[in-house]
Amino acid sequence: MNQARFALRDVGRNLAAVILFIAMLAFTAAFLDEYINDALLFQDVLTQINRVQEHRIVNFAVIHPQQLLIKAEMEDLLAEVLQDEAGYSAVIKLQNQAPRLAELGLTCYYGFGQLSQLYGLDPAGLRDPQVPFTVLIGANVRGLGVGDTVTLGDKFSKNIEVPVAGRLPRYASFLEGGTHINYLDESILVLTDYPSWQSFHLRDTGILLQSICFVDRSEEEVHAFVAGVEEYSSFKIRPKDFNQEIGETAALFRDSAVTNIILHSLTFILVAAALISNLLMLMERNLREYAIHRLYGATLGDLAKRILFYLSFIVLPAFAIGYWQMRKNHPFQQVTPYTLRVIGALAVLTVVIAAVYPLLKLKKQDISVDLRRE
Amino acid sequence: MQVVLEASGLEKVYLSGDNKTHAVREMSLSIGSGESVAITGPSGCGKTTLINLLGLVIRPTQGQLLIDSVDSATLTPKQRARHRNQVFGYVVQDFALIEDLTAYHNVEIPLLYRQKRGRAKDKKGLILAALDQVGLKGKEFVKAKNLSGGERQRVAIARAIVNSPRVILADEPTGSLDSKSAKEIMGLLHSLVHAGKTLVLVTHDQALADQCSRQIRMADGMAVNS
Ligand SMILES: Nc1ncnc2c1ncn2[C@@H]1O[C@H](COP(=O)(O)OP(=O)(O)OP(=O)(O)O)[C@@H](O)[C@H]1O
Ligand SMILES: [Mg+2]
Repeated sequence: MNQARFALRDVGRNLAAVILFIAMLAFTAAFLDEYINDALLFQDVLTQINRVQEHRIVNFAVIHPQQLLIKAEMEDLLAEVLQDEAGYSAVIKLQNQAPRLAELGLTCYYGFGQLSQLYGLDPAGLRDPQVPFTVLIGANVRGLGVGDTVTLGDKFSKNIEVPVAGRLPRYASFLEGGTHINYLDESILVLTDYPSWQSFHLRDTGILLQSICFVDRSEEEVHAFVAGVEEYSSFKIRPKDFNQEIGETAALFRDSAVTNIILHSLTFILVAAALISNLLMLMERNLREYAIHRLYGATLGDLAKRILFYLSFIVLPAFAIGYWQMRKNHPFQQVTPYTLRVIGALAVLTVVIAAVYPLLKLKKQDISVDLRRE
Repeated sequence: MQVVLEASGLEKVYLSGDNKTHAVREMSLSIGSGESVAITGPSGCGKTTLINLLGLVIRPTQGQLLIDSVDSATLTPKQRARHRNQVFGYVVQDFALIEDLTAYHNVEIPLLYRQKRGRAKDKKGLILAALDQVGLKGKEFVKAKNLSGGERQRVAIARAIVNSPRVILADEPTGSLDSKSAKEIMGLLHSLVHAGKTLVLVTHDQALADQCSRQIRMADGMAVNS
């Protein structure tokens, strides 16, 4: 603790620079979460893309007609094409539709067919094909637990009571339209199939067409579907290569994550370099004092402690302020243990990196020469 | 009498650029426990260098130094630091005080690095007693930079003795004192010798040297008719 006391004295004698460094470091640390999230996001996007790339997936660009015209045969076409759960996936978002969910402010997603298999949303296999609706809640959902019942439906449709079957894994997500990753941690996911949905809900054909993906289907099937939709409705749809699109998305995510991480590392290196030069200046002034301490028994380890304490007195408050600022910037964002751990590790790393060179210099100190300094 | 310090063929060569200074050469000596040894000689003859060699402040270019019969070359940096803390008490030629610390806190430094940390109260008692011994009662909490030359020298002496070292290495410890104060300080140092401590004293003052049990006269880095 003696060395902490001396480090505190060093802080006192160097107060203006210390405050400047705390401000600089706090400012860089305040943006850390965005970079951490970027890295996390990139990781998750990659995982999901890798999962999806095991299948041939086709989705559709939909041109909405000026005049909506849907023949009765359209219903049969959809029912026929979507009867086999294995061949398609779709997800439809219904904001706060069911009364209880509206109260909790939870977004509700209906996932069809292969969705949960494609994105690993149901690792425990809770979905029972015999049951029309399987309700899963996001990892961070509070106020609703497994076994509670939720009411699905709205004032326009039948309502149905369904128990919550389980929780989604943390960071459960799916790719929306091949360009966007959607996290389900604060949402509800209802796994179902087209016939159950159709028997129960309003049928918004446009939204359904937009969100349908065909999984491992032949080109003939795809073309037949496109032709059928055009024949039985005023919608025009065009098949798109989902796999290619998400490949491009992955590249975009990677580029932005890499750029951000490089930029941020550069800022950090600059601040660390400034910190090191400040430390060297401080040490230069302290050499005589260090020599005196060593003459009366201080080891290099004791002086190293003093230097590490000094750095900690700068870096730890800076990161604490940065973290506090970060929470203020994103008050609703969940703090993951991951974020905290990364921030802690970076704080320690900053101290260690800044300390290495000065400590190596101190190792070469000649006590008798430095005793005579003025 | 037990031998504390034994040097054989100690050499120290300073290299600065193309300049080679042979500050200490062919130095062999043996200092026993309880002895008081005066080192005298003209300015620049290597007295401070010798005392620094003996006190593990610098490393010899050549030769051997035994401390309590242990070859100092075999000591780890940590052991050297422990020796500096426990075996030796240094009075540096130009005091080497930390200017913005009080007398008390300057004297405290050796106690911060003790192996067996005593209780805080015991530490405080030791510091106050050391300051009292050198006649600085009442000046404990004055910063070093505000003390007079003589007072600074006394703080340096208090710091050297506070941790009860076995060997006191004093480089001109009375240089800044008037003759009366110098006598008091020398009286203190010799009372420590009577109590069993070893004293190595660098001095220009022949009268002070004569009070010691032995003298080493140096010239140009070498001992002459010791
Ligand atoms: N670190 C050093 N680098 C180079 N030369 C040095 C160094 N320290 C001492 N010297 C030289 O070594 C010689 C001996 O110096 P030292 O300080 O031991 O003399 P001294 O006998 O203590 O003198 P004084 O009575 O003036 O204190 C001198 O010529 C000095 O210039
Ligand atoms: Mg000298």
